[in-house]
Amino acid sequence: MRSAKPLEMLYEATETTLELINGAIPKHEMKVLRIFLQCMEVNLRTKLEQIAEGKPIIGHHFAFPAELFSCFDAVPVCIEAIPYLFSALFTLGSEKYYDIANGFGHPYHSCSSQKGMIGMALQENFIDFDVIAIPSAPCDNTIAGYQFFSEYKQIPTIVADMPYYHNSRGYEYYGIELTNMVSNLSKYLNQKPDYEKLRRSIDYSNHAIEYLAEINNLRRAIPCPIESIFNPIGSAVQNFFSGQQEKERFYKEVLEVAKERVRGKEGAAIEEKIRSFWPYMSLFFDITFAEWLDRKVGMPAVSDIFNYFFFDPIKNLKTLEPKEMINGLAYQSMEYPMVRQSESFAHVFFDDAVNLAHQFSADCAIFTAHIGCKQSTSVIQLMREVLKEEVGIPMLTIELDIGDKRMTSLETIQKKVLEFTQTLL
Amino acid sequence: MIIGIDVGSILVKAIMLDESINNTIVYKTVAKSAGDPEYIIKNLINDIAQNLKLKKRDLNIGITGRNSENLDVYHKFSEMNSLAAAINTLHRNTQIIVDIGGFTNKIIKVDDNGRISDYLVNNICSSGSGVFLSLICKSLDINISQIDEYAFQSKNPLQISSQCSIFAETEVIYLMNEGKNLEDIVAGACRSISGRLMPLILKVGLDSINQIVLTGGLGKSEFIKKDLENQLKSQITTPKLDPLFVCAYGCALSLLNDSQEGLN
Amino acid sequence: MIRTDFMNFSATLTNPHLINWIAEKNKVIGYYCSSIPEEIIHAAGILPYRIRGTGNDNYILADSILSQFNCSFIKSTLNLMMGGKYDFLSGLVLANTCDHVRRIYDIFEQKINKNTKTPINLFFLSLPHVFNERGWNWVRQEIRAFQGELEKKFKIQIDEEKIIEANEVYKKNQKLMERIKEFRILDKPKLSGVDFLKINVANGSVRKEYANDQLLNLVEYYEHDFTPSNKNVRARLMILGSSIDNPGFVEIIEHHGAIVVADLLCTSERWGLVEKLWKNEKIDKTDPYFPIIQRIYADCFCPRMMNGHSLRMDLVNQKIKHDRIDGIIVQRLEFCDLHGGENMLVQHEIEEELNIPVLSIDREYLLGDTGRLRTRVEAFLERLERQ
Repeated sequence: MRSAKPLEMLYEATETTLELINGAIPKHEMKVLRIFLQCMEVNLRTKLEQIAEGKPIIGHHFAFPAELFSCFDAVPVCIEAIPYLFSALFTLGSEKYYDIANGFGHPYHSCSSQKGMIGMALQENFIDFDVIAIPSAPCDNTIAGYQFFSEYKQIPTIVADMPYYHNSRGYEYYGIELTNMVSNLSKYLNQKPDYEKLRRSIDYSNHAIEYLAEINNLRRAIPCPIESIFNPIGSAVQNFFSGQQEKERFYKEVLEVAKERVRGKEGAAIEEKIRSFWPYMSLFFDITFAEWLDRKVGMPAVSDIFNYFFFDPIKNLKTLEPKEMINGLAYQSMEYPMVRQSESFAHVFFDDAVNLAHQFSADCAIFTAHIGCKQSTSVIQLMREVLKEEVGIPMLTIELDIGDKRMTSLETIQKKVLEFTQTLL
Repeated sequence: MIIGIDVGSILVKAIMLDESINNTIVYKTVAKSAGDPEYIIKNLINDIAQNLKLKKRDLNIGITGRNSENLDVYHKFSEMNSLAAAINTLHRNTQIIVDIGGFTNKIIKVDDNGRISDYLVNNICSSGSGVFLSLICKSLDINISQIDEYAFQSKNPLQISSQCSIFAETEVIYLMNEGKNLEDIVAGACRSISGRLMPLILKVGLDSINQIVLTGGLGKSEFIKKDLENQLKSQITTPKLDPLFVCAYGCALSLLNDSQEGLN
Repeated sequence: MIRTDFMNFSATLTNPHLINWIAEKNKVIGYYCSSIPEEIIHAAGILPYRIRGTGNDNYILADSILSQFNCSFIKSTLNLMMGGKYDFLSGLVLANTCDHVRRIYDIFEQKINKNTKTPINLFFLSLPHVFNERGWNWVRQEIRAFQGELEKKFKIQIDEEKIIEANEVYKKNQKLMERIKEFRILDKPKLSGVDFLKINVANGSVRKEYANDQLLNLVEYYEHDFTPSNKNVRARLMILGSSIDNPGFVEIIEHHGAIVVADLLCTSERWGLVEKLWKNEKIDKTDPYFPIIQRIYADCFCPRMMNGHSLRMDLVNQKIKHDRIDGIIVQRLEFCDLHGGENMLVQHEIEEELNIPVLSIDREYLLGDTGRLRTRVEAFLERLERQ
């Protein structure tokens, strides 16, 4: 039977965390986390059952439209999500795996998301992927990191090459790349693609997009009705539940929470003092940080890069031909959170940040300068200037590794945030 | 009596103001930051009380500094606000405060009303701060207070390329073994400091006319000041108060201000 | 005595040929990376200049924009540009070759060009990361689009004849470099790794017709006038990894008596990979763009090409045998993720499969702490001698 030890470990962690929260925390608290863990429990259980049945496992990059894999009778697993879920759910996190990868020669400054899986693979605590499917975006870490799996672990790896231009020429090119991806997967898995399953998967995603748009509408309310923990959790949902029913379920249930709170004029923060906008990612190695922001500082994180779609659901889904569905996914995945801002010219990143800062009435911005993300850290100063000039808000930059607590500790991050609030706000 | 204490990474600085004589500075002292900050502060306060024959309960104490987080029994003020408060009093119309600390460098931009409009702190790496120069001085077997003495004698400052303090230390050892002049190495090390400050100053942004004040332990170095002046093409003001005590002074002023507001 | 000072062009950003070229009111366009179609720039009657960090001694200006996680090579070049040292450029060509390089485009477009009275002309190419036919066609479209932009911005016409002529000049250049390379791998090499890199760097700073004349001089010199010393070569080394444009680094490697007889650096021997890496069976070799696409795309040795690792390793293996390599140095610039990941695999594969010793070096662009590096190289050479 194929090994999927990390998924088993995550399943156990999910169950115990959910049990702990249900036992110790009042029902009206930490609703978003509860919903996530419930969805996670179902998702992992399903995946493990399918793996036990002998279904092939497709490892995929977070920026890859996993809806595509629903064509096949296979189990999609997001590679980058695993180490970060470990970081969030296990006390010891994924640091051990980063060290193993570094010891093997992987550079310390590369992204911990791929590094974590490299470490797991070297320690034989790995998932027996049948095939890996990735884009050539959004960064050098993707390009460099996945070579380990294809060359050293000899796992068949299919790459869909993403152009730099986000225009009709680029979308068309990527559509062809994804079409070829399906064809190659079909050969590797020895299965014919079932496009009706693809249609169903896109339907889940379409609903998820609609629900998230509504959630974001409600998040503009003052006070913000959704807790800050929604940001790191939302990132996990996007990537780990990509193309699956749990993604739709998560956003649907969170939307109900948001509606209820808005009706009751409740905010997620104990007392909303400052609304922070995060142009980049949240912290993954300690999700209690999000709670600290809400409860101790009164500084809800009202938006971040991962939890806003700059695209609409794929229209007229019921009547689309397979190629049209794939082209629709090609467009969405090029406009996917982080890909849109990272694998293109920086003005897109700045425009999106200005747009969101205005939309969500941000009082300030906090930029997580993740050591792995060279393409985003290169433009931090420019982002700072743009937000100051066009939105009139200050920006705090925190250099860190979002998956490794040792680079910049939680205490240091909290100190910097407090200093920021005391000094400029 | 108002005491402002700056609990830094390397040194703890304390300054006392006498409210009865127009908040004049009547006492200054420094201690090493080795050990439990609470213990160090207690000893400092005991020493002050003893030396000046004062009652501890008459001392109103404010705390600031990198290592002050857990000292909740005292009135706490942020380093940034303390520095701004001090400079607003000592040098009104300052636009930029450059503070070179033990582990952190801060660049603070102040608006026309004396409020902080922007700031930047060096990243998590301590290179370019006091500890960087301390390590190098230790390798060279000189006291950090002697840096100006050596640096000004240099005719050909060497470049210390390594950005990391630890690698810079080994680079310095290598230069010494190569027989390079001590003066040139010290000058190079000082230039590394200003070289690390400059990008932060440029990031915060300079307006057309700027009054810039240098504070912190290394703010006393004339060589670093001159080097920065050359690069910025602008004069830098040395504070009227010993730069090492500016933050502690600002902390005392902030406490004084809070006390007066409380009374009102 | 060498009959040309051509090698010394590597020591400074400008050189007599360049100065003369500019004085005659001709234009210069700078570019990063071997994946830029400099033949088109040449065909436009412009001097294509490979951007380097020569002469930079700090990162102050670059650090005022970039972060601490950026490549020091990029910082050095940006520092020079912001300090006015590249004011002789009329244009700058960039591509999505790596995360650091591509942001230089954004920094210029969003900041530097907006704050100057003389904004530089910027050009960008989107290049594939995968070898396949679609990629080939895409690159052709990109080259054509770049050509169109050049014509528009500089009000010139680049016809097919000029491109064919440029291809010939570049082909000759490549052949001459191959010839010089042969002197490098003799039993008693006639030139050091330092000198070879100097020639390559100089080659990227002048018009290719001029370079060809200089290279011909060098070929004649090495063929007829040069007498190699009898000094023993301690080891024959190959360097792989990140871009090197500073001969000072190679000097450190060769300091203890080894000679770098081979490399596959983008600033150096990668021009030698003519139809050696990926082969596109369905191309029209009569297409005037064929040699350009072949060079910048199909023969792209950079680890940015995601399905190229095994092709690259085959070439490395061939070179190890052909150039009789004793040991390999894999070096990477700090914060270079591409070579970071690649070097990790290369080191393991070479050591485990070929049993050739490998020294792995992480470095910054500015050469500080050379003592430590020399010690490591010395220890590596001792290890080679023990084998």
